[in-house]
Amino acid sequence: MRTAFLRYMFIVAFLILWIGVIGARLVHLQITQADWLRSQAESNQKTEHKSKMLRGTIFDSTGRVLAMSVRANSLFADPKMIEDAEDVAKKLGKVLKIDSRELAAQLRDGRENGRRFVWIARKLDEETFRAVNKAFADDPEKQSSNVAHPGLGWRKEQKREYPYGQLASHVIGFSNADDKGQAGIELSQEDVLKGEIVKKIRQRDRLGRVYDETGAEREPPKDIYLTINHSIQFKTEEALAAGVKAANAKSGKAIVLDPKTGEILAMANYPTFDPNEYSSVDPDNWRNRAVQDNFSPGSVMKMVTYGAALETGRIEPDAFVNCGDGRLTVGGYTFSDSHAIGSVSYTKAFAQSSNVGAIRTAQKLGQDDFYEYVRKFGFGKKTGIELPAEADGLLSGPDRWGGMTLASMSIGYEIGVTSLQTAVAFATIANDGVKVQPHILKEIRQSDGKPVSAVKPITERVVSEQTARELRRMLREVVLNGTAKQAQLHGYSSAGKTGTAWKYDPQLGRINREKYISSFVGFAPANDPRVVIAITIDEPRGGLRYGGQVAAPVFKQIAQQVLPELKVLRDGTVPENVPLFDDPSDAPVFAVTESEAPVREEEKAVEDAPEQKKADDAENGRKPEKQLKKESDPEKTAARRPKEKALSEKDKT
Amino acid sequence: MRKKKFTKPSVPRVRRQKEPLPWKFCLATILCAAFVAAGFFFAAQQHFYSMDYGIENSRLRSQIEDLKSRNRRLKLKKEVALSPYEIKQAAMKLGLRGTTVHNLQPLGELQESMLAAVDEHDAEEAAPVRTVIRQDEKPKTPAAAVVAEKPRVVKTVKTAPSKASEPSDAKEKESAKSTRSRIIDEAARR
Repeated sequence: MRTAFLRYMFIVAFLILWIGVIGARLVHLQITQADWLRSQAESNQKTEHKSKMLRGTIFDSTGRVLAMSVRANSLFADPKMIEDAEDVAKKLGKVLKIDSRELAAQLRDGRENGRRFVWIARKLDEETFRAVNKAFADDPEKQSSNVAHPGLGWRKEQKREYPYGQLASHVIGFSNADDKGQAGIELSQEDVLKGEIVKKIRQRDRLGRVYDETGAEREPPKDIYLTINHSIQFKTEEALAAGVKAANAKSGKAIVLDPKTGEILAMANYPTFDPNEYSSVDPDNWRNRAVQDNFSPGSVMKMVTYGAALETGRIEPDAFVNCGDGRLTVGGYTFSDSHAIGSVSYTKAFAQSSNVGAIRTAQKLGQDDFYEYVRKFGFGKKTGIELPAEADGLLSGPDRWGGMTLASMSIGYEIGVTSLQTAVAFATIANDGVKVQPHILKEIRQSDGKPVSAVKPITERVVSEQTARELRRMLREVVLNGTAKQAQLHGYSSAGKTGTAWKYDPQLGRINREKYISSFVGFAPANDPRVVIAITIDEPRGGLRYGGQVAAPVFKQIAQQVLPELKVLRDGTVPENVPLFDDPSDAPVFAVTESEAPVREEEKAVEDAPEQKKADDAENGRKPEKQLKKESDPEKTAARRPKEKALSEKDKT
Repeated sequence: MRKKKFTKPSVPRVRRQKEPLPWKFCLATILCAAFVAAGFFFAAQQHFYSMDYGIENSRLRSQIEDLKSRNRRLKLKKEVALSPYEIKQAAMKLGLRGTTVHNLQPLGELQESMLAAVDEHDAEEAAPVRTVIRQDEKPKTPAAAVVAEKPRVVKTVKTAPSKASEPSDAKEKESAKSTRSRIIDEAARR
């Protein structure tokens, strides 16, 4: 009986002990080791997957893709797991077309130093991706998404592609290997375009298959629509490149602007670069000179001088100004015209680009009023365009002006401007005196196409409609009878102003009379302008160097192609070189009766002359000998007088 | 002494009368058990289904990503093919020339030649326009009147201001060139 009882108790004690041990173990596992066990379980079951959303796309105004990101595969290696480094390097070298010995050395070095991650090739295209997989596959016929070799793997990245290559490269900019914008819109709109990093938790079964995925939703990056029109941009770039090459110039820039909306239709720089291969280009070429570089505008600035004087009622277009013998001494410096034009109307003085006429106009205006209008036209401050590193321009206040500053500034010296600022100033006149803030960003849209925001430019009246109209007429005269005859268009009226300025040479410490910046800023049609085009050619080194010679033809080529594309109706200007009448006497009084010699022939004739004379005569190449003496450009007369005191830009700016 | 025999009074064994299990109870138990078991099976099935769906979902999701990625690459290729520089290169290979000021046929010339063609084939169509010209311009010189008959003049006349023949400046009278600019000025004022 007792034995039975003891047995019974023994069993009970054993059971209690057993349960106690199990309980204790459970307590140990679930309380003291709970966190560690949980993390172990999660690491076996869950994996964290990080991916970067694709960067936003940049479109032109017509919806064509200018920049887009695509998924790309990058090959990496874990050197510790690669034992046959030579063999792997040999295979990879063949497919990736890289030095296999260098790669083998890299893998060996990584293995010796215990490194577990080495990039082999980044952002490979689909074909190369498949070729690498095929090179290591057991069955070459079978397509695989992995490299069948221990220690080699793929990582998904994104690659920025610019399908149009160099088209608008200075506007779009580029992003680096880490998908961060480095220039242009890519840089200025980094916050809009950048893709957020998305973390996702993936749960896997015992076979490694993902059966659940959780993660916080992130807003995808937005797309940007620019005001650039790819077709106009292309034509502008082509014309600019041709113009720079023809002038044997150092560089050039061109802007095509819609004066009514302030939209930049094209912005080109030459030399240019392909953002797909930005690293292979001189970084100096990355700079968007049209908004980042200051230059002396030269006679282009006279538009502001006359515009301000007209607006304040100091001059009348048909009133007379005495330009005397073409020389005027102000502040100890003698400013000169190429020839004495005597007493002429302001319109003619403007058309002939008379320095004396412009200075007398500025003197009538006075320092304060002149400065006020220079500022009103947008000089000396950023335009506010959505591009990085825009230059303010160089403009000092009247309190810091010297004795000849007003005179110098009225003819475009002692002031630094950007091409965009000149384009905006002329757009103000083209838009009946209302300045519209230029912009290159048209719209921001969500990835599904829904508009997020549209740019609304700021407008400001600078001069009255009447003044703008009168100034347009004066600018028209420049093209018809002044220094910009090569800006005349077939079938469209055009207006504008040439400018040629000496460049400041830092080595000389003063302006260099051998180096010029030639420009032409104009618009068309003259009466109801639809486009403003600003052309600047830097250091033309050929025989031709004046704005009317090297920049105006570029304007013509662009305008001639852009206006029909914008469906602008011809305003009936008779083409210069296309006689409508076989016999001029048949022509009605309002039609063109005289026929001018073709421009090409004149240039050819100029080439035969000695170099100095060639450059001087080229401006007036179409005119007879008698006219040459009367109407030569004042800019070149100054160039003929090297003994005269040089205008030092250092002092001025 | 007679030994008294003590006998335990026999207690009649009371047997509890077992009642047979009620069939309803059995049935309910069986049903509940079956329900619970079925629930377990159902839950297990659902779990495995959800696993399968999850796996399938994940596969489809990655497939969508791949297709989207391929779609983008194709879009990109399309854009590359549409690139003006690519088109230019292709055109050059075909022997076409680039457009410059010098080889660009002006719209004016094109329209003039078209108008000339119209004149040859259908002069009547151009006639109403000529009528309008005469009314507007009233050309004073016979030569101008003769020219106005030509449909090619239409383009010039249509756009020239009506006050074109009124001289505004003595100097401008001297040259036709100045006259032209004055006409345009007049047009600008209007």
